[in-house]
Amino acid sequence: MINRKNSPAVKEIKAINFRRPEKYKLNNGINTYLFPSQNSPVIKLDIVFNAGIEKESIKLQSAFANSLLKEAPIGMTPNDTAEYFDFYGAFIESFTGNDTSGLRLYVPQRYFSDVLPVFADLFKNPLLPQKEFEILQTKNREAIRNNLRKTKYNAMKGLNNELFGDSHPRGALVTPDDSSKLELKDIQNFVKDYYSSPNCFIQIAGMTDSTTVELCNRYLGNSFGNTNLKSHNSPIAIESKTQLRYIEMPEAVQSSLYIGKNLGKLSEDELIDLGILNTVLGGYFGSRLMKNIREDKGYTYGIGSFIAEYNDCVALKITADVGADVTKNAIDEIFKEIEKLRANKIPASELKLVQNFVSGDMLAAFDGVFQTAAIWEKLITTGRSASYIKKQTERVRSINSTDLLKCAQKHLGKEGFHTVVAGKM
Amino acid sequence: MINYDKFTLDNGLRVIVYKDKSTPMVAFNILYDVGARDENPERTGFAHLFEHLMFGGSKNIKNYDTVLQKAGGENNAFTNNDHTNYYITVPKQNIETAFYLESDRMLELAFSKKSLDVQRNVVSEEFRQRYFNQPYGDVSLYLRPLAYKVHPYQWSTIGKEISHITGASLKDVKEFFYKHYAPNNAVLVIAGDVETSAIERLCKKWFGNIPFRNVPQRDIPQEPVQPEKRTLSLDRDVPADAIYMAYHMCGRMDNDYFAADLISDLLSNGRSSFFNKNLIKEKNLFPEVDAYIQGSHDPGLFMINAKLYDTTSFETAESEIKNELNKIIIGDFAERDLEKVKNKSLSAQLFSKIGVLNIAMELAYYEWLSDASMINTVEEKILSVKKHDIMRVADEIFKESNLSCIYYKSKKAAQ
Repeated sequence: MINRKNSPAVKEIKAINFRRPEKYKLNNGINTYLFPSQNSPVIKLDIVFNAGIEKESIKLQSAFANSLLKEAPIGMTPNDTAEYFDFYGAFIESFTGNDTSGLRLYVPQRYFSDVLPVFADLFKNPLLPQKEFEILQTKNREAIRNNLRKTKYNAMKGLNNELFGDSHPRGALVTPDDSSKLELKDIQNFVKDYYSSPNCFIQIAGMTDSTTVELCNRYLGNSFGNTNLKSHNSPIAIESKTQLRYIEMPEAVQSSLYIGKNLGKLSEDELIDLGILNTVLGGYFGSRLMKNIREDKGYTYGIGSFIAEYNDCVALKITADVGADVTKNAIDEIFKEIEKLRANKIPASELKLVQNFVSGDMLAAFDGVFQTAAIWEKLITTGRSASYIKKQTERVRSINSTDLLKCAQKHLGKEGFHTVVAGKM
Repeated sequence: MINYDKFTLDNGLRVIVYKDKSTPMVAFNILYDVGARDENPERTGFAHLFEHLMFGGSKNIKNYDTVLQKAGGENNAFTNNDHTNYYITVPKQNIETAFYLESDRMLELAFSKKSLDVQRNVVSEEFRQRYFNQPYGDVSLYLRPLAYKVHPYQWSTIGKEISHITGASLKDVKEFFYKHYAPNNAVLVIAGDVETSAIERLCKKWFGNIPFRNVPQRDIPQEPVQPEKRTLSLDRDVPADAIYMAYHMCGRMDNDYFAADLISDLLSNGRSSFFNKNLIKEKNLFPEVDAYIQGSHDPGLFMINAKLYDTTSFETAESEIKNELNKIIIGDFAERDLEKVKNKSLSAQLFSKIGVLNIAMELAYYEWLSDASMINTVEEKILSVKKHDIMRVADEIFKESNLSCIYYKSKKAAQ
């Protein structure tokens, strides 16, 4: 007769073992990291440039450059280029962030050597065609027009605007007309300045072999772009003085909330503690915010909190889509939960639960080479090393309620929080 | 080639085991053969509401999520018109926790009133968030009943309307559970660094004493052939006009399914696809236009959606799209185009099998469809489609009488 009364004994996760990548340097100095795996006959190649939106001098410049690069290299038409990649079952993604931008190639391993030369040519000899640029402009205009009808988009942009201001790329609001202010030469200059061999690194995950690095040297090993790294004045952030911004959208049946605070520059240790505190607050399904605002009150289908890490500061953000009739209630409850964390120590059983959950979450984050490569990419771009992961794993085990209470009291005070509501209040 | 072991318990539970020593995580995926198509038309949205209730406590376990979090695991679930799928990923040393959790709620839910009250609200908010608070969000609530007059695919998984959800009672919930949640109505897949013999022991231990239940024989009325084109206009506060076209097509198990899938790829998969080249780039008609198939078990819909530029009329949009469809029917495309989309499809097959969770979900899905071994025959099915199959199937699907079309009109308010 089985005993269903007690859950099976749980074994704690002691350590997170992950394979370090093989590191190479191409002839032109590009650092190249290989994450080999024999599981699937596929290759994922990321080339990451320090070409994020914080480098732009005109709105949308970085995202447009990133997108337009994909169209074709000099010597091929956009149609031919698309046919070429499609024929080999290759997929190319652009990604644009605050600090970095790049291209990601997914290709069956057997076609890697066919696809790589054309892929490399995209940023070594970009065509940047006028027609496709104009199409991008009109598509962007439509996309922004559509996004401005979404409560979530307006709330998200509103909070960034509160925290960083109009003149900072992070905070600038984009209108449907902004894309028409761009000219093709703005894109050409951006690509020349930032998509260059001294300004990137490469990660390759999947079924790599002894020819992989040799192929990279052949097609990616020469200098390209502006080899003098362009200096760029960091934009200045201006935080707003208001506490509440209400973006009225009369047709909305839900309000989107974005509540956040700039916590300034934090040390690695502080950031790790804050990460664990964030999990308690709103970082998993059993969090304080979920338990109260979704599971107890039913105000929302989704609520959570997360840490947004920037190159010069860290922000805590809380987001939820709530029924329009309970908007004010939801905001009150969110701040109540934040205050509770500052007033009372987290009970031992809850802390244990979070520790186990976070350990499991970290283990899952390293499940497979594609995931491991993604974590490694973040380590590189934030200037960290594998020791950060070790520190994080150990701290998750060793942190106690007093530490977390101190962290909450230091960082989660009511002043400095901005609340942005898009919808109805 | 995906190798796996398969066995069936005495109570009818089908179990599949996939071995992968390279990962520290185990995926535990359980699929129940119940979806929105099994619902009472007066009580729609139930399969999905029920998915939420499955997390509200079971006979011996007050809080499913807490137990799993303690074991370092994560979980989620989804419901569609055909089935409901629950999955867990957990560090392999804690795999027994997954057995404990899933077997207890297959045995008996807690049926708590508080849980029902809360989840009714949560699902109502989900309804609003997905369907009413997004521009173009409510289209499927109108397109389905336009295309389907008889078959239960006429309503979305979320339900016909919010009142069906808010009106659900505890009695309805209990009835639904005993009717559909049974070992003989489920497929369980475990994927990771495991041994089949150990898994078999754990299955017998935890699921062995759950009784076989009488799941009613499915008796779903077939949708009759649509006799003529159907249209509907909706005026909404959206920035641009949009057109939504749905053609009837075959079900997932039909021999022509893969041809239909490749047709949608020819039209809109990738930047060299016909819609992208001809309608977006060359003719500048749309910022976006997509063709895709729903992939439903019973005869489904071939969907074509487009957002229109201000300068594109509905008439032009429809006729230009149909022009592209006609090219497929008459074979106005190269063999190389077909070879290309097959390569894309095969490549997608490769990428869909990365990670034990993806493999577990696919194995469960194929076993539910008919047999898990289908996971290894998909490639040959894709490769065997010929150009004349594409033309014939296109001709069957893209008949005018087969079409249901929504003209989603932008209320040009002062902008």
